[in-house]
Amino acid sequence: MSPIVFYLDPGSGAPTYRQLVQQAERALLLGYLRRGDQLPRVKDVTSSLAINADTVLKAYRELEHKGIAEGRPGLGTFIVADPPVPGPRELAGLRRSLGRWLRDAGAAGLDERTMAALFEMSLHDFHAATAGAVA
Amino acid sequence: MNTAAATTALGKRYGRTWALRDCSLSFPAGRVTALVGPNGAGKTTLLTILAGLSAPTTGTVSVLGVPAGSPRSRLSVAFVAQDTPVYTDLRVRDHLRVARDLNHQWDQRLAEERLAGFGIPPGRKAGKLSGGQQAQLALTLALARRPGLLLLDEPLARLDPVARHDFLGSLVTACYEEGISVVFSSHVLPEMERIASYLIVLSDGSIQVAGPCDDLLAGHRMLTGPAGRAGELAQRLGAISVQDGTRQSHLLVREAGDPPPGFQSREVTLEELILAYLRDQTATALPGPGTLRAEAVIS
Amino acid sequence: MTAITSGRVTIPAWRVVRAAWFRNRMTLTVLLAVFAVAAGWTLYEAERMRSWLIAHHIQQCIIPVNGVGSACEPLLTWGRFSSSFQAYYVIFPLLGAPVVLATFGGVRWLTREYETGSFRYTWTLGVGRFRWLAGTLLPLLAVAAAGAVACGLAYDRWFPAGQWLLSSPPSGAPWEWNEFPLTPLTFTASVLAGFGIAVCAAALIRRTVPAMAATAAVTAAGAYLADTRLRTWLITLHPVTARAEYGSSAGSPSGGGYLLRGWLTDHAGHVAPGFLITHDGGMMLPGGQLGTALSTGPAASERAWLAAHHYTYWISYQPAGRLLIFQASWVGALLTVAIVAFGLAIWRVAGSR
Repeated sequence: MSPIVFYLDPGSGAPTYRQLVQQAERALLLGYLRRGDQLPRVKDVTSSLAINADTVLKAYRELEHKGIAEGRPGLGTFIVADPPVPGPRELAGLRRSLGRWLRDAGAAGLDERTMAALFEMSLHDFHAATAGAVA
Repeated sequence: MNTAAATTALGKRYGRTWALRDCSLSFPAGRVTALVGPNGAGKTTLLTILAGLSAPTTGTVSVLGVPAGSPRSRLSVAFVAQDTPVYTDLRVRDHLRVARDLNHQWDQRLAEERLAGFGIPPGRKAGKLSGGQQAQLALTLALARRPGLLLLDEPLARLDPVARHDFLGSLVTACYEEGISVVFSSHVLPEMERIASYLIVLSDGSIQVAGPCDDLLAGHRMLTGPAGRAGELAQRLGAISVQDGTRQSHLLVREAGDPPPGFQSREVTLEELILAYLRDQTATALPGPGTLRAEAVIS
Repeated sequence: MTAITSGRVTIPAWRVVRAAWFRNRMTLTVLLAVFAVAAGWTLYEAERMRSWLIAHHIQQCIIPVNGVGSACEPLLTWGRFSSSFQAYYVIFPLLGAPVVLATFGGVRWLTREYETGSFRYTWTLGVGRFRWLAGTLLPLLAVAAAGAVACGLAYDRWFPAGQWLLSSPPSGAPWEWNEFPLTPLTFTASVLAGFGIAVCAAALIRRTVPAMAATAAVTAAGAYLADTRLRTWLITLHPVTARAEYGSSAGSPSGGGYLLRGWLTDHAGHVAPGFLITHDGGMMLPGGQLGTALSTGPAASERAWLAAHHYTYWISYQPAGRLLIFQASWVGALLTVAIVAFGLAIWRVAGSR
């Protein structure tokens, strides 16, 4: 059995194969997938999601193209890359810039709830922009 | 791509009505082909002709390289008709027994494993099974014949959502694992979009759209722009559908390049594409030599 | 992709028959049971009558077919025999069996395929339509023929004693409407013709209830016509004409023959008007002296009077040996109906696409 399970988001607007690619990348980032893990078998994905086998194969080919996964005939598709991990200096720098933004927002009169909403909207825009960039 | 089945100038007449007119089609092998169209468009007629149950009035049909309906075609073509008919008074295991005697190749183990996997008791009469179970029984009986071509006529009609999902999932998996070619007619467009590689839209007995799904989607765009300019642009580009607001309009066009200035373009879903073509019955998107031919007329 | 490989294209016939037998085993079992009950009941009545006659020491009344029987006529216990047994408990079920069996056994197995749509499954299997239909008809007709022969043989066992209940004097051989269609040969032919009509109706009409109604109507009408029109036409063909002795056993055709009519001619050869004996024993008497002479006194004095007045008694009849020929012709006609009906059904099911 594979460590992860794919799902479909009918409202996402992105083609199915792209959703699978993104889910694999996110799982790798979040630590659910590690180097050497096997991605779900094509026949398991088709039977659990009721989608075309071509879609799954297309997603796996994309992951191969990006260097994240590798297909081994007769065995399956396996993760071959390490997840991108930010170093401690990068993380500290990101926290500081986030803190500056929060102080700016507070000075502009936003309460915490509005700050959170603004962050969600920006995150959504960012998501859409990266999805378009991958295509 | 190999073809699983092909028709040339196929026509079928019942009395004085032509159910199918001059259909020339080519179904890809090893893939799921979606057959879509309004009621009475001729989907069932086309499938019964491919299955060999009725003969064409004009034209020729071949399946897996042999004429449809010939004894050799019966070796490798399986048909699951509308309402997935089974013998209601026969027990499930008796169905397997009869099928084993009447088929050239029969995989008893596959049939039993599949039925056990869906929790269908072999001793129960088929009439007492639920709609979903009957559909799975009919599909199992078809798959255990080890067909090269599987024809399905609206098998989802009586199924609840869970049963539909299971049916489609097992169908696509079988198609992938065994390399079976599938032709599948249904009204449920989102599900067709998920499982089909090739699309045929049949309308009033003739083909409106025929082509690989990826190519069709890559070759169409939805343009959004100012309402004033939409009309002239629709004429020029031969738009399939136009939706007007007072300030904004959307056009579905057969174009793949950059949108004209002032317009944004986005990809379309297969469902949007099918609905647009079904609403505009004069538009067609048929495979020509190389690219899609544009033959839309805006009224 | 599974391509079509060259290889055996046809499924062996025995497998088709085995699948059809298995598929329809309920119908076939019920058919067999009905035949068994009918034959068994007939045999039971036959043995009951025989043992009654033996117990009353009149077993000479058990006349084999084509035997001579009038020595049995003055039965002292005749009244009790006819009140102890009822012929029509046996005759009516047998006469109605072909109609009932065809309607309830011959229609539904085919119309059900059309009504449920399962023919779309069956006809896309490895066998073609024709072989499927032929393979399914084979066990059906085999069961029908075997069951019908059994019932006919049971009737042959019943007839020697039972004919006394049907007509007096007894006919000696199964010539009459309630005897002719029940022998092994004729009963089998009518059962097969009935099934032919049933299968034909099912193939043409394709709906269970209308096809059953049509089958019942056509088989009932056909049975009536075959038994009255066809039979009476056959047995009146080219009868033998001969002199006979009025009022004696020699006045009836020798054992097993069938008397069509009798008449008198006077010394000049003219037919005596108004006097006629018909095959059911009826007699029309003329008025006047002739009628008086024939209606009074025992047969011997009547014979003497006729001889004295130079009257000759003539009969027109069918000899016993011809019964088999008539039965064979009747069977031929019904089997032709069956073959045409089955042929029509096969053409409708398997011929056109």
